[in-house]
Amino acid sequence: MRGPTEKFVVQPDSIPCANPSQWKVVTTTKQGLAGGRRRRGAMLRALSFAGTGVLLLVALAAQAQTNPEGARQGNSAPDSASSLATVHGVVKNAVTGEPLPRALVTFNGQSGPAALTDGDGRFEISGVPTGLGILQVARPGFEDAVAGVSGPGIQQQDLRGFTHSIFVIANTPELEFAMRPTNAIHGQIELSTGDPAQNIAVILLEKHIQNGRAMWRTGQATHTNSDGAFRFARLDDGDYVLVTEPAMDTDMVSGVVEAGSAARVTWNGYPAVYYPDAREFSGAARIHVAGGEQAQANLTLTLEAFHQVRATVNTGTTASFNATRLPSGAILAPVGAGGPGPSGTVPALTGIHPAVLDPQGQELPYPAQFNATTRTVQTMLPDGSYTFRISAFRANGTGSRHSTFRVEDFLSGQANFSVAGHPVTKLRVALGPESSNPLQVTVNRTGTQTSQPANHGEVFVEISQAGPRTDGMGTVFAQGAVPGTLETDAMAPGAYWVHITIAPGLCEDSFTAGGAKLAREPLRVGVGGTTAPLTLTLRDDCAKLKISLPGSGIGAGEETAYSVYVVPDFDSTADARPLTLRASSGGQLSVDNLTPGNYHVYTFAAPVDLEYRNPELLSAMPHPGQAVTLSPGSTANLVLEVPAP
Amino acid sequence: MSRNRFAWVRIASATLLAAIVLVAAPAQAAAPATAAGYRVAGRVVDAVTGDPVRRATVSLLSEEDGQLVAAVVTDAEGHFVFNGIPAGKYPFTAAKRGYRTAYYDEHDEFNSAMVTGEGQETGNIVFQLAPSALVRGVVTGDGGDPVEGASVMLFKRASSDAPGGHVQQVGNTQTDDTGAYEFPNLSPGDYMLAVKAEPWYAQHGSRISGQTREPSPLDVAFPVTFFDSTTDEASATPITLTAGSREQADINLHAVPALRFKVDALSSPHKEPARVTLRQKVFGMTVNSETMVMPPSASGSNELTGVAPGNYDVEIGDPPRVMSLNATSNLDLNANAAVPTLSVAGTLSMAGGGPVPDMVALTLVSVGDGLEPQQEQALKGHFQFDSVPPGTWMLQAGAAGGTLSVVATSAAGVVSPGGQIVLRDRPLSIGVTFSLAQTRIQGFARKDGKAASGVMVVLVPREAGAYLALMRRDQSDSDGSFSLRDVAPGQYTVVAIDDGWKLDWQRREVIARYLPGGQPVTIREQSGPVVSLAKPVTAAAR
Repeated sequence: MRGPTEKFVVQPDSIPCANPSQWKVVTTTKQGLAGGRRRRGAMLRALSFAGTGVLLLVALAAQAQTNPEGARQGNSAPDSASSLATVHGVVKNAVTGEPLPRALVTFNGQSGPAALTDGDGRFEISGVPTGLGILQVARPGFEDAVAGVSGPGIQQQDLRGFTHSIFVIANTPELEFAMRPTNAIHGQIELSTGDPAQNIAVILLEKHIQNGRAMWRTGQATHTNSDGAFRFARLDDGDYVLVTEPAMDTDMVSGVVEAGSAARVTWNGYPAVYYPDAREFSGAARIHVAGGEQAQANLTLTLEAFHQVRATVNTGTTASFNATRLPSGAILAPVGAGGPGPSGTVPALTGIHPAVLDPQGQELPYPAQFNATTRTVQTMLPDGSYTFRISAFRANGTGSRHSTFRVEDFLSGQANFSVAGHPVTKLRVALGPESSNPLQVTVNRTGTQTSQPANHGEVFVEISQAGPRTDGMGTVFAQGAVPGTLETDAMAPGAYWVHITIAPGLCEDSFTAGGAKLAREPLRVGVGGTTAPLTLTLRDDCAKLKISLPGSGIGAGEETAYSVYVVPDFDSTADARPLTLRASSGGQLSVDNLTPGNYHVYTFAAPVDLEYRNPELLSAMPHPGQAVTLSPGSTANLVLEVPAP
Repeated sequence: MSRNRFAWVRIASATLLAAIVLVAAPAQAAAPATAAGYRVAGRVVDAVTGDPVRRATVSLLSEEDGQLVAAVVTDAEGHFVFNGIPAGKYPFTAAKRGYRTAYYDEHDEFNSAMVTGEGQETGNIVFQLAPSALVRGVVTGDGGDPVEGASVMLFKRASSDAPGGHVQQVGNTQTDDTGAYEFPNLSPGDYMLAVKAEPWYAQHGSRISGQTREPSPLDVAFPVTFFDSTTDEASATPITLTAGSREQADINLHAVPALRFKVDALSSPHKEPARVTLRQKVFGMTVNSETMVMPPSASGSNELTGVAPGNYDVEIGDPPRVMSLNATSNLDLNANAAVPTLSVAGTLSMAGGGPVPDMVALTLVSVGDGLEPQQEQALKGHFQFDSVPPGTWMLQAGAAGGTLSVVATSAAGVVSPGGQIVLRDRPLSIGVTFSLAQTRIQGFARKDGKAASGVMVVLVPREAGAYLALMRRDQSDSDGSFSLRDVAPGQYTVVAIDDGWKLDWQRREVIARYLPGGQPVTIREQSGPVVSLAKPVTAAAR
């Protein structure tokens, strides 16, 4: 019963020069089971951020990277007297090197000319306008591939629909493209009872690189067919984890129950299992697939007793709860029954989202339900150790002046418990407010900057759940003018990575929580949402790096789009976002706002995600990168060493 | 009574959620168990082999809201026992992996609820649970390549002995990357399969163009293809499923050049861009619909590309004209060759002379022509459908507060019972008489002097022409009781037919032969919400 992956992304469409990767505020998955408050809260926050933070980020992005598309328009190909030419070439299997027949090559999109490759992988397309155009290759079971960009810590992005930039002249040299086969993971589930394992939900988690770190996120979901078989196809090369959702059978100790005494009944079911046989994410096997592999992963599920677990939700108050105190007698409304209360009354809690966590704090796929009448949360669980996490939110009555979304107060609470052969019914979970935290921001003025930038002193902080899995919890923000004190959004307990984006003219010096360096370790949020004192120190003697491609001009044939990472040798909460350079858009970029220090610059011939926060992987890369030292307040120039296409 | 109103049971059969409902509900729903409750007991057996079904969950539900009252699990011999059940009426279900979760004695949307109380025999129930049947297969294209993402549609023939009974779509799924699909958990019956897909490499260019273009070899389409790999609907091979059967149905698709339709760019007489709606039809049902607006074109016409051969209903121009076509080659879609649509207008009145509700939702449902339903609202008793394709239609009505029964229509002074309207070549102006149809008829079916459980009860209106609009059906519960809902004022006969579930009840002549053994009943405006039949209805043998 799991829905498709859902993404809440601040739409970049209307924003000039926005790189979507800078805008992915929160990515969520799963519907139904884990739906609810944390995610919705995150969305609301993200959207309300869209009203206020977007302009700031746009300005920052514009400053950081010259817009290649815009540049291309102004600096177009030498010849635009469009005549028609013929292009020809070959498509090969990137793994075997064999020619690939029946691949579709299209020029300039759906309405342009197209051809299928023949038995030798060859194609010829006539009627192609000369000048710059785009070309795509497609074939089921394959995706586009660019050689030389794989290795530890480097993940080639999903290249389905990748567009090659081709400069067409009257006799364009032969083109060559490679496609790599996608992978599949399939398997068979057997039940210990011998019953057919039909309709068991199976979820695939995939490893991906987010902001320079390897994380796990929920990917595809499916159900077993009537034979208990399941299959995930179209998988990129990479690492995967499989987990089943719990499924009930019905078996009873006594075989008979009297009406109304169902609470005494033990129900049996098949627990959620991580492949091959673990109850927690930490015990899951990593399934690596590459090169068109068809990996098999069979599971056996054992029928076990499931016991009722019931917790009373207590809306007790705490000392720090004055401003948004929940009065006794506040109405607890079920999820979806939201809306602010009548004016003058305290609004009802609008989203109660109970979740079951494993001892590592990872959400488990056991559904829990909140009963508004009895104010209890209940679920059915097999023996084991768990945490109930309950979160809720409600409108606090003051609307945001930047958006139509209501500002919400967030509450949460949790309780640890074990199930061991009996129902657990006397749990209590006290809901308390999640607090926001002050963030002290200071700016070290060195005086090296002679003029103040026009737009100075804005900072945007993104605080997102630390791994291993990135779904289940959301992302919160802090933003505002500096120097001064900012407020974070209310945070639930847990560990978070902090990322900052700073207005032009300023760069990070340090970011700490108490003694913890947040560039190196995650921010710990305790019960009630409190953290050690947050201090961000900025400096104004930032450096600038101008990077450029070697040589100039555009040759006939395919033009490579290079992906460039400027990675500090020191820890930083600022993200190193990939920059795209191509000859036809000028071949150079200026990177501002860099904290002075030593850097390495990595250049790839295809869009890749780089695990740049992992120094060991960086040092083991096939290409060591170009070292560059940036002195305070300086501007450095670097001609990129580009890999051979 | 016992319509299967509580469809959630079926969905929830083997999920954890179901278990939570099972556990959570009794605390609120169940009356306190008294020592003086009743016993409900029996066995669950495999409907095919007769073998006991162990570890099946048997659930008693509340008649009012479908909430769970109690649930038990069968033992190794398939036995189940409920004790202390208060007197009442309980729909009940059985569920087990590998079987279709079912209500007791289920037929179509009806079943027999269990009635407990003094003198009720509820201690020896045999619950026949049918193993699920399934259809699965692989969809391939030219050269045997799997077709991924093909839309596989499953149709079922209405459950009746009548050949050519109407066909309903009961499922839709997509093939995976190996071309495989599966429809699990099917009930016995006759099924048809149709596949709609697009070759992955098809390139149609821009769909609409003012110029005639050179056909591209990649401008191809798969026609809708039926099992066993035919594109002719009439040659589709039915797949007969019995309980537990597993049928393999592979389908091979063959790409053909996509068709091109030439369409006038401007709609006369208004000279506005022409709108064209294509509705692709399979077994008379619309499986895909697209509407395009033709841009102005220098040549005065547009070419529409990428059309798969097949059956289409085409709506074109303004006011719209309609045509049905079986497209096998490139065509000129000429609005003049299409049939004009017509207006149907009229006024509403109540059968008892009372006030007409301010707002009444009206729907015209095509009878036998497979045309799109038409919807309008009647405000203060007046309505107008602007453009209805000619054909035979059934007028249905609803208002806040429930279903309305169309008792009669009148056109040019001729009154016809029921809601059937025949639209030929000129607009219609009609008077519609309807009733709030809120009376419920209760009674008991008996056979051989005993309560008859599970018989089909049909309420047959006296007027033959009003049969489909006013007839009602139910299945008798374990004590023989039945309940016919939403009955409009009029004269009827209630008939009960033992083992009547395979009869083609939609045809009045099939049911008419049971009328002599039935019980007449007259419902008036003043009859009130419930009319109880004084005498039991004797169930006739089929």
